[in-house]
Amino acid sequence: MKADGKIDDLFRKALGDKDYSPPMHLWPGVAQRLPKPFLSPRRISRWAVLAFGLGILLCSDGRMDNQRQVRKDPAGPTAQIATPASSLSRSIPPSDQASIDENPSLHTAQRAEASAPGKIPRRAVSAARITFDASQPAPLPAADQGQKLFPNQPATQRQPENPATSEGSVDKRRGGMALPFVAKRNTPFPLMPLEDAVPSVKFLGERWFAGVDFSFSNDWMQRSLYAKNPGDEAYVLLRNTSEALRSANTASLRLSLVAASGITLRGGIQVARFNEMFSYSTEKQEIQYIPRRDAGGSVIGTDTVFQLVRTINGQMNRFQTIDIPLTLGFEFPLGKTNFGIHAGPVFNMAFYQRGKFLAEDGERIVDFSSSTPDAYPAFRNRLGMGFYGSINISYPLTPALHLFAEPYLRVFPGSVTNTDYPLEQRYRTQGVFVGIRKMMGPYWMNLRP
Amino acid sequence: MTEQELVKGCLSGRQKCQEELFRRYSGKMFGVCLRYARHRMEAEDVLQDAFVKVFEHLPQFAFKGSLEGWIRKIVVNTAIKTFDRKHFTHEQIGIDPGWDAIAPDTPGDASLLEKDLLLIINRLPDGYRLVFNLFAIEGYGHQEISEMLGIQESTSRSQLVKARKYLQEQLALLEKEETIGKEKFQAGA
Repeated sequence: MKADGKIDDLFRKALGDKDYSPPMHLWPGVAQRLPKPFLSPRRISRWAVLAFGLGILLCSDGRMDNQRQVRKDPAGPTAQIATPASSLSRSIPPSDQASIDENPSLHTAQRAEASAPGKIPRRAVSAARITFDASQPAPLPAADQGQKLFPNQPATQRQPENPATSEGSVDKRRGGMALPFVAKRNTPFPLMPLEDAVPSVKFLGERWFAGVDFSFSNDWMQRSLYAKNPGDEAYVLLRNTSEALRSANTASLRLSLVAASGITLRGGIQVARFNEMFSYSTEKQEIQYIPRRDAGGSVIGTDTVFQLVRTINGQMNRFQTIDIPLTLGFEFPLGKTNFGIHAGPVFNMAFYQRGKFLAEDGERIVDFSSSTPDAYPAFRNRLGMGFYGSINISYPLTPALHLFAEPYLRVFPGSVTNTDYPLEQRYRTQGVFVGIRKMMGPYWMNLRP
Repeated sequence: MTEQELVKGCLSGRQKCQEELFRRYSGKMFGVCLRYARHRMEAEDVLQDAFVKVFEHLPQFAFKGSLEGWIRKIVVNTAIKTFDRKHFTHEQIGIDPGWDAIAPDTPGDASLLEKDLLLIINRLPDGYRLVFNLFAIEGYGHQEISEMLGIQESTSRSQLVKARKYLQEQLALLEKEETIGKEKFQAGA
């Protein structure tokens, strides 16, 4: 038993808590097999930026709605529809303007609007819901030019036609419009069509709406490598085994022109990035001299140990493209949701790359970074023309702000490599753009013919 | 970085923390794997599998004991399961389980005595090696070993006795070789 205990102790002391140097060459293998976190810090920051942008747009839109609310509220149930300031200032002579200022029944909003000449309410959808108090006669100034500028004007014109709700004389100086009139309590103005609420222009016999799209996509990418000569098939295999596709993403900023008939024209800029992991091993020989000791502890010789140390390294290769997509499409509404299909060419403006890979001999590791002066000349700077196709689904959060998702496919038929390089390398990406479209406002209005 | 910070970093998916955890504990755990495996490559496989499991099950670590002990337990269990799987595979394809029992390629930072002991342990038949490791080095009882390996308690006892006998013989052989070597060296000198 004693001998047994001795053996156990010998092994326990020698090997029980033995701490070797960490075998870090195994770490890439472990890291590769680890489950990827659903939201990495980098991904969170991207989504935060997107959410921040969306928040700003929503807040700015909400603030406008609040301002309109302030204009409606002070007069309570006797509130009148806010007439555009431009129509007020142009249609009402100074003498009448003074009388408006003295008239307590005149809505504060009119004065507020009148104090901001040139400001045009961009959307009158919410204003169209204002109800009137039958007990209080309220003068409504006519708008001779406001008919053009204020999209809700047809609704206001219909009211005097009803003898039960209008009275008073017709003022010839103000374009023959009846004023004042008494509106009936709880008689809502009809809601205006959505397209009336968003500024548009007439062009080529169509009514065009403009919007700016901002979107982001995490992509799936496919890379294909072909040998130009059959003798380079081994090099294809070598590169495919040493490089692994990791991730791709695209950010896009576009201008969209949507005709009332549904035809859509788009152009803008897209920045895409492809990430690939290049793994390679380096070997070096380490020589270790271990003293051999006798039972007394004195050195009686040395053992020389030759050890080949293999280290596996990882290098993240990055490829970046800047493209200009020009697409033609068709959009149609289905309920409140808009569906669209778009296709067209993509013009590549620049192709950057950064990283390393195995050279043609399969032994050297070469740097192909475009920023390096003596970079390995494997890649082109421009990819020429590609193809972009997408399906778009958008939902209006407000008439001027749409949330959209857009599954897409982008293909560059040409190779990204130079003609001298023995392989052809091509990319194809698919993804789902998620973003927002902001319909353009007064700036677009100024461009009216 | 404390153990707690390290675990929290790993749980939040920070790769630097994961790498640090691997760096901190992989050396010791590699020693454990080398004892259970028949050679270095098998030990590396076991270590990789074990650390993948460690990261997968890290949310279950409740800071009740030491992290090192918890990781060690996973490594030992992985080594046992790997042995079972390998044994089964060899049986299925009709290969002798000892086919890859080549001489171990031990790490460079192991001393000569450790290397010799490791070599002797690696040469033990699989069943003996597992029981000896679990009983003599890890400190498990025969009942626990029988549950872990799915064998009878008596089998565990008998395998331990046989393992010790084999080790004793091997140690005696090693001693004899060393004596001969020493005599030769002195004669040469």
